[in-house]
Amino acid sequence: MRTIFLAAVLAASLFSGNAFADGDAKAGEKAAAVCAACHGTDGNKTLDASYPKLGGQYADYLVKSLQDYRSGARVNIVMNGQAANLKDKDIADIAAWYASQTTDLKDLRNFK
Amino acid sequence: MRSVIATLLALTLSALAFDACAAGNAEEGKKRFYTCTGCHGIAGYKNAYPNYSVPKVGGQNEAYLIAALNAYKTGDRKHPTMRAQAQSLSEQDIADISAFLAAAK
Repeated sequence: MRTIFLAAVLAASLFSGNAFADGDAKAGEKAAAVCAACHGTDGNKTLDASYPKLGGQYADYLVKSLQDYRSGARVNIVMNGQAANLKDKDIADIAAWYASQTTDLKDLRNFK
Repeated sequence: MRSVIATLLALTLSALAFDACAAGNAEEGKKRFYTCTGCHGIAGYKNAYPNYSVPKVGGQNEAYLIAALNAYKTGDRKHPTMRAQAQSLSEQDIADISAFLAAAK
């Protein structure tokens, strides 16, 4: 009985962990409309080469980047302003949108 | 005439100097990147504390990569491992690695 209870608690905590981390890519597409001006709709066509490609980047890295821009831990005049008013859910959604796009980025697992 | 020649010479020299400094050599960069593969060459590899995926850097824009490595080097961008790595890199190393990564297939 106790085992079942523990299993339920574990399952629930796994589920809530997921719910927090997984953004909604569809909602993210809307929230990212403003980002497209510099990063491109799919995150691959940047306005300037000094801006990073985001399409297909890992979602949790994008979340970390936006959190750091929001807190000011990472400094960039444009991005600090853009991230300042984003809620956690917006950040998760935007990250999910870009992560779901086809990508020019490579993970270099085949580096020789 | 003399001043025209002098001006041309100065322009040529400055163009050369700029080139030598700015142009990255992808072949050299590839050699330098070997160390980086410990994290950036493993698909889905996680950074610890806090836990998040180490970014994909192959195919990224060259100018962005140069800016990112320089920001780690100066400490503007805070990440202990990346700061230590970037501090060991010269301007030329950074240009070379960025050239390699931007063209990486």
